[in-house]
Amino acid sequence: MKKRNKNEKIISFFIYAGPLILVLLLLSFTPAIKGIQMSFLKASRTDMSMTFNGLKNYINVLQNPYFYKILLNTICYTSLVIIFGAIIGITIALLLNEKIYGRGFFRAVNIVPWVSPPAVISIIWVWFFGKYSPLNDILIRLDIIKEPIDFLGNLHTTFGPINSPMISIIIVGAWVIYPFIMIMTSAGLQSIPVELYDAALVDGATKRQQIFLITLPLLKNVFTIMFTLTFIWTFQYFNAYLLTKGGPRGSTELLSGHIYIRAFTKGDFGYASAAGIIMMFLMFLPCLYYIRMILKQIKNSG
Amino acid sequence: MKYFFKIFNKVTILIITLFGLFPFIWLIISSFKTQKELYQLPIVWLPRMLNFENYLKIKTVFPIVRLLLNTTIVGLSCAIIVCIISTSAAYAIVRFKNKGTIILIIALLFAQTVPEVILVVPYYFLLFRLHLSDSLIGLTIAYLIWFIPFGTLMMRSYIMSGYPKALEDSAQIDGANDFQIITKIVMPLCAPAIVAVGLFTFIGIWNEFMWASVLILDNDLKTIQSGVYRFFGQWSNTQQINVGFAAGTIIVLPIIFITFYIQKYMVAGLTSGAIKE
Repeated sequence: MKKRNKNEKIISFFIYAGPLILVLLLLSFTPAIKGIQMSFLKASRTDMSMTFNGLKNYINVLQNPYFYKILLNTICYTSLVIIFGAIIGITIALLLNEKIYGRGFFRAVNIVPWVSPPAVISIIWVWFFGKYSPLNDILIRLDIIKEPIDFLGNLHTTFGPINSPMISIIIVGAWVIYPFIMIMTSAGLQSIPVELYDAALVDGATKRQQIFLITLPLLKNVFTIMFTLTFIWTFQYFNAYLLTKGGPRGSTELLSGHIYIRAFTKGDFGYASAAGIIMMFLMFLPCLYYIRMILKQIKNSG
Repeated sequence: MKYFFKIFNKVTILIITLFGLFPFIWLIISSFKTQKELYQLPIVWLPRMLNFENYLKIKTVFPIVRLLLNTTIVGLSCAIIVCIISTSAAYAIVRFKNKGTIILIIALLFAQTVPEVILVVPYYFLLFRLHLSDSLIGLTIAYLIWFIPFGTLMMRSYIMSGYPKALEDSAQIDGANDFQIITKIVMPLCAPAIVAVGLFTFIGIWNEFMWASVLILDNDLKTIQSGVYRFFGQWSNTQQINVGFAAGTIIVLPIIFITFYIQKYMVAGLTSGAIKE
C-alpha cells in the first residue's frame, strides 16, 4: 500500500472536508458575525437599511421590565418542563428495561411525540385545552369543575403560583421532550453490563442497593449530557409560541417567542438581535459544558 | 405483593403511552367529525359515522398539494446535499486526522448549539441581500446549517465503527483513489446510516415552522407547517377546523411511519456521542 505523506493527507483533508468548511464559514460563521453586528445597528424593515445605534439596543433590552418577566417565564418553563419530562421519560425507560411483552412496540411508539410536526400538533393541543375538549369533559364528569374552562385563554385558573396557560404549555413541552429522555436513559441502561448485577446478586445486594450503587452511578455520564442538552433545547424552544402566541397578556411569552415577535411582527431587528446575544450569553456555560463533555467522549473513543 | 407491582408497572406504561399518543388519536378521531359534532357540549367522543367529507373538502379550503410539493422539494434537496457533504467530511475527519480536525468538530458542536431564533434574523437579511428571500433555494440553503452538523457527527461515528477498515484498505491496494473509495466503498457500506441522516433531515424540514414562516412570505411557496398554521392555527379562523384536523392527519401520518422505520438509527445517532462505543 502506498504510504501517504503528511502534506498529501492535509490536502486530501481539505478537498473532502472542504464543502463542510465552506458551509460552516458561510452559513454559520457569517450569520453569527452579522447577528452580532446587527445588535449594534438600527435596522429598518421597509428598505432594509441600517444605521449605527451604539449600545442602545442592549440598553433598551436591559431596561425593559417586560424582558425580565419573560426571563422569569422562560426559567419557570424550562425547569418545570425538564422536571416533568424527566419524571415521565425516566419512569418509562426503567419500566421498559424489564423484559415485558411488546417492549419494542412501546419504545417505538413513545418516540413519536418528539418528532411530531409542531404546527399541526399545536392545533390539536389548543383544541385539547379548549372548551370542547375531552379534558374538560372528564373534569366535569368527575365533578371537579362546573363549567368547561378554556385553559389556554384565561388567567383566573391557577395551579399554585402558576396560571393555567403556563401549565398547559409546560405539559406540551414535557410531552415533546420526554421521548428524548427515554431514549437516552434506555441507551444508558443497556450499556451497563449484566454481569455487574449478577455479581451484586451473588454478594447479596438488594434491588434498592443495585439501583443506588450500580445503576445511578453508571448513568451519571449519560445523565449529565442528557440534562445539559435538554436544558439547551428547552431554554431556546420556540414552538411553545404556536400554542398561545405568548398570550394571554404575555403570560406565556418565552425568550425565543419574544425575539421572534420583536423582529418579525414589530420589525425591531436591533432589539431582537441584542436580546438574542444576551440569550446566547445566558446559554454560554451550558453549551460550553456540553461541547467539552462530547469532546472528552470523542477523545476517549479514539 | 410482587404480583401487584407487576400490574402496577404495566398500567404505568400504558398510561404514559396513552399520554404520548392521545393527541394523535384525538386528531384522527376529530378528523372524522362534522363541524357540528366538534362544537357540541357535552362533547361527542366518537363520531356517529366514519365520514370522509372533511378529507374531500381539504383541497377546496387549503392548498395542501402545493404546500406538500414545496415541502418535499426543499426536504429532498436538502437531504441529498446534507448526505453528500456529511459523508465526505466525515470520511476526511476519520481518515485524514490532523490537528485541524478537532477544531472542525468544535465548530460543528457550536453550530449545533446556536439557538435557531438568533440565526434567523441575520438570515432574513443575508438572503434578502442575495435576492434569495422568498425562494425555495434560499430556504434549502438556510436549512443546511440545521442538519449538516448532526449528519457529519453521525457519519463520523458510523465510519469509525460501522464496518471493518480493511475493506477500504484492499480497495486502496487495488489502486482506487479517495473519491472512488468514498463512492464505491464507504457510501454503500454506510447506506443505512446515510438513509437515516437523509430521513432525519427530511422529517426536520417537514416539521419546521419558524424559519419557513419568516424566510418565505409568498403563499405559493410556503411549506406545510407555516401554511397549515396560517390556516388553522391559534386565533386564526376556526370555522373549518374539522378540515384542519383532516389535513393535520395527512401531514402527521408520514412522519409516524418514517419514525418507525428510522428509530433504531435515530437512537444510535443520538446516543453515540453520549455513550462510549
